[in-house]
Amino acid sequence: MKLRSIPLVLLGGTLAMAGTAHAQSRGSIQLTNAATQAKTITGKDGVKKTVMVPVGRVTPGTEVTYTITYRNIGAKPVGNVVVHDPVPAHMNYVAGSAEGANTTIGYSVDGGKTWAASLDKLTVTDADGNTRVATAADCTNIRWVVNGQVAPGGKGSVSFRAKLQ
Amino acid sequence: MLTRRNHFQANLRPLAVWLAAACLSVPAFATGTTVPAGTSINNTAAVTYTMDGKTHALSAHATFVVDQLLDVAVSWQNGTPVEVPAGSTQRGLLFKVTNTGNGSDSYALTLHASPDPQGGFTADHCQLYLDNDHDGGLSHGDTPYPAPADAPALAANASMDVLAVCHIPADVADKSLSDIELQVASNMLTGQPGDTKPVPGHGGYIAVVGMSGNKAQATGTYAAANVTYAFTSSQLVTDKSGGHVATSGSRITYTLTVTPEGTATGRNLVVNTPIPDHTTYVPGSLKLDGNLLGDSGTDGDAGDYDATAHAVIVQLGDISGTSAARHIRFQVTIN
Repeated sequence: MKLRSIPLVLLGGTLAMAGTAHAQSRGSIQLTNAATQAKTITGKDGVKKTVMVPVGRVTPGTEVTYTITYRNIGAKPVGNVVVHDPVPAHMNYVAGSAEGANTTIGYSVDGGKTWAASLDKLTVTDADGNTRVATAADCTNIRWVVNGQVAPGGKGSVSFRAKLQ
Repeated sequence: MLTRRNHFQANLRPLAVWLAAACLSVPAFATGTTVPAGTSINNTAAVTYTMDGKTHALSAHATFVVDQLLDVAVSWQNGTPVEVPAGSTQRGLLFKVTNTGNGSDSYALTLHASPDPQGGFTADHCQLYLDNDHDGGLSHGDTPYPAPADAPALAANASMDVLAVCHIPADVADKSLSDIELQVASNMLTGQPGDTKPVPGHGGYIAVVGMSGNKAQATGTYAAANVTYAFTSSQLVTDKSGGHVATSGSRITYTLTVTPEGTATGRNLVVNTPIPDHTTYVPGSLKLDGNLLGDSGTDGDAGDYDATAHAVIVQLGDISGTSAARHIRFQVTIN
């Protein structure tokens, strides 16, 4: 795990630590974005187990987990917190993988213009002009609307998985 | 009944090989959608919130670089055993090698000839060619597959058509089989899935061996397809009084039967039968399978009487080993 320093103007003197995660804070909210992948390791007892490690070896077909953490580092509560993340280019959203406690999750297949609570409530139009129900691979954006306010010191994290094409 | 020897000309190039080559549709490149090695994948998460009635926004990034997956596949393209005549040379089997990884690689190719387990022969003098014109057979423009150091780079998702070109021994039995295995191994790295190495000149990512181990093999098959022609001749003498005495003025009816046997096809089969000394051809007496043929060499039909050579010539064309016997009949009179 590498230690990265973020420009002081953005961080206000704090450092963020993560393999490929960058953190930003401005005012009251600090945001981190960490990309991890599953790795199978064999313990000294010979038992294999899967652990999540910072992305380090990604080839087509690899699933990457993005975990976005928000934290209220200010002295006042904040409201209307919405985390928004476009599915990266060259990656496909993995069906059913979006999670976020105390949030209402929304999906978009048009770059964030329209949203629905599930992908099967959205449609896409293919090159031939035919309309069909959207699937996970059509997902372009995900958002998490945090329920209620986030108190000082409060935090939460949301995540989703995407597979490299 | 007498049996005579006759002149016999046949070009035994089997039709089957050429038909197979003409019908194959070989796409030069497969299409793939895998992300190229070295691509930077960027994710930007954003958050918006309100505090003291004002809206704020900020974002956070996560980035990684795609590593190179090393995988390869090879398949035999002919599908059914390629028919080859005994003793023929430079017969091709078509293989397709596809880089199923997401970065450029090159491959060492080796051939192994063996008798088919069901009983067969071993093709020899095998060599590898790049089927540069993608016609499925060995052509003038095709080039020998180079040694590993000079092997052509194959881009991600790209394919190359490779011909295994062998000689067929002269003594092989009809329908016997010979297997040719094409082994493909990466020049970059082979090993267990998950093995890695740095990619030279690309410090930003590594190469990872995929499920194929970055090596593959496929087997193609030759089927010996020979054809032979049993050739018999019978004659019937009819004298002027209706008897069977061979004397001056008697008429002799010759019947020549050509019976093919085998699985190949002989091309441009020509039966050239000189009439016996001291006889005269009966004009208009030539028949093929019961159908009358003209005597002229310019009448466009399959048979002629060559008055200069004193020979009956019948063009039988391409005769498959599995086709029916052909019957040639003509008459002469004894001088």
